[in-house]
Amino acid sequence: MQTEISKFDDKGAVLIGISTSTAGEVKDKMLPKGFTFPLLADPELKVIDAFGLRHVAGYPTGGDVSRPAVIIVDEKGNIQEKLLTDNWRVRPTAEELLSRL
Amino acid sequence: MKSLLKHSFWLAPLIAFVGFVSYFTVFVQFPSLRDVPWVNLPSVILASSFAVWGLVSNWSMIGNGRRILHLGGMLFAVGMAGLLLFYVFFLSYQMPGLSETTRQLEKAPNFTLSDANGEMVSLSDFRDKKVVLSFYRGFW
Repeated sequence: MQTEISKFDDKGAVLIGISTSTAGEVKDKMLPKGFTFPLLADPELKVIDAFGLRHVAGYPTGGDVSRPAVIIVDEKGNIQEKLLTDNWRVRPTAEELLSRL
Repeated sequence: MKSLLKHSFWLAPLIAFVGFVSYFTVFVQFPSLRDVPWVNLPSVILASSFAVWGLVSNWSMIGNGRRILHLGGMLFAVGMAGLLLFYVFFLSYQMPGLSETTRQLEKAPNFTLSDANGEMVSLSDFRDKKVVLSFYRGFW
């Protein structure tokens, strides 16, 4: 997704990542990979719960994580699209997302 | 080929091991090779076949010590293949059913969270723009 970031810009869309990692973990593990869009820290799963996306004991080591999901929010704050998966390995591609914006 | 088969007891498990580990360390970063493991599944399956073939073709010509090596190598290679197949076709489908919250959500609840540099970011900062919220599990 990072490589397609300018195409999101072109469509006037903002990309945001959210995970249970703390800000420090994101800084150590994700920023070195070159992500420029905001990666937000939700270690208490507050926002993940607000969207109903908690996957109990979903992490290999047993902790709760977010199920993989992409939610597209329109200009008025309404949810335009929920892209969910039944297989945690598989994610929508950047092309798929761009085609829906 | 005959000389290569003599080495299958260590070569096959090595290929299987690399095929297994590299999926998680390397290939998950490439969406097309992650969604369908075109590199990793064939390599672990080929490694298993190679191990079995090596075992069968060498069996009558080698002593018991070598037989145990070949058998161990084959079991390891087949085990690696089994683990990867289990992960790809079973484990990664183990997800909870969709929650009612997600199903019924029409308006995005506002939130404020910290980014990696400690800056607070709110969904409401981006009114008048479309926002693509990608919930991820920690690595991809």
